[in-house]
Amino acid sequence: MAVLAGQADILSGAIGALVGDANEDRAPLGQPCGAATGLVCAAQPWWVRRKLVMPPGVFAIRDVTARYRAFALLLLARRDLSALPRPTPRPCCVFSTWRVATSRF
Amino acid sequence: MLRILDVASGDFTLLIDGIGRGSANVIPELTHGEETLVSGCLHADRARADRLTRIGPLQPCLWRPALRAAMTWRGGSCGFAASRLAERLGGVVPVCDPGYLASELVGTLNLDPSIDLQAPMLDDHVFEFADATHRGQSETQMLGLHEIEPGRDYALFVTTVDGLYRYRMNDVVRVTGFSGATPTLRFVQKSEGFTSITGEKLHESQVRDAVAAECRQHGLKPVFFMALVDDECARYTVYLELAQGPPPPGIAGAIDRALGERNIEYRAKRASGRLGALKVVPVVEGTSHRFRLHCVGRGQRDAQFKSIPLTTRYACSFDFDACRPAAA
Repeated sequence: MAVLAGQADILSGAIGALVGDANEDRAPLGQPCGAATGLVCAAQPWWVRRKLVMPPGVFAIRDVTARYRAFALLLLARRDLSALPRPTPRPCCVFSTWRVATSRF
Repeated sequence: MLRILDVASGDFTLLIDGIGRGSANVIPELTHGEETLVSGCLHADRARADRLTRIGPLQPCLWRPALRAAMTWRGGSCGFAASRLAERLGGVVPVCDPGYLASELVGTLNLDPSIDLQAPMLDDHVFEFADATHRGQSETQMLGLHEIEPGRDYALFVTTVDGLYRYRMNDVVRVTGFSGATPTLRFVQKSEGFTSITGEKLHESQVRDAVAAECRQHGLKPVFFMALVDDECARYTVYLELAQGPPPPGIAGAIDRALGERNIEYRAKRASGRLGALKVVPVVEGTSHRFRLHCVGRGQRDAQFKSIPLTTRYACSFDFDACRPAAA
């Protein structure tokens, strides 16, 4: 957690994580199959999940045009969007990167 | 992200209307349940809608003043798209590479995205390397992190706490320098027989099956084919040598669909427009032979000649475009 020190500016905004649907399909024996990114997103700690712009159901919208329009609508609507990440298994890595990035650019 | 920016620009007026009214009913393709879900994430924000209207659809860098970073892979075949994204965001928002991340492991942590300084996660995994320029026996000569050299490309093998033992990642990484005494790494490309432009993870066997099935379906006799990744336009090009005549016009679409049947990620990426339509380019008779001579000339053993029919243009030194028929 030490790596999160000084992240307040980034964590204060909304996070527009773009992931795939974690339950795209079913295996023959019924196990859910889907995007690892969706699983990773759902497994983030609560303080990350509460900042996500899009609920998991949006990634399951079947019509592709509608799905992308929904992404665009929700992301445009948020005036406090502070990051557009690809989710990773370790949010601390993401935030560490953000911290360095935003101090440099 | 690029696709979303395109949609946001293209449907700008429609989306602004939805933001002003706090409703997703501006998206006609949504089902009732989906519309309820999306509308539940909105509230009527006339001020935001007015502000966006003043900015207009062509300046996405101004839409989100609080945006501090966009994170996406910048290595390998993602490089072109990442550059386009940075351009679209006006150079104001940094596009950062999060590091070498895979389903199997978090490989590196990007200590400084401005110079792409990616340090391996030493405490979590054992990293081993084999020279990426040699295949076969040389891969058993594993090198440790302390033995790899800056500027060289290596095939990566990992042993993880999750149970992978000397697992071949099928990735090529480059040593970019050092952070202290630790070598820093950057993803270059997939190794062999396996490509991914936007995450579709296409395997050579899927391409081989699709090409073979569609050639059979169309009564064609394929002699040779090579599928190359066109990073810049995010699509695949299949160079096809047939025993007789040019391929029929519909063959590209048929192979495209056949790939989608074999790889659901490919189908999803094609449907969303993240991947462009596959292209088939006929090549003249004898191309396969010329390709073989070319590879042998570069050190492959003639008696054990093997070609992987799916690779990137980066990894393919043979000019297939020079083998098009005169009229193609």
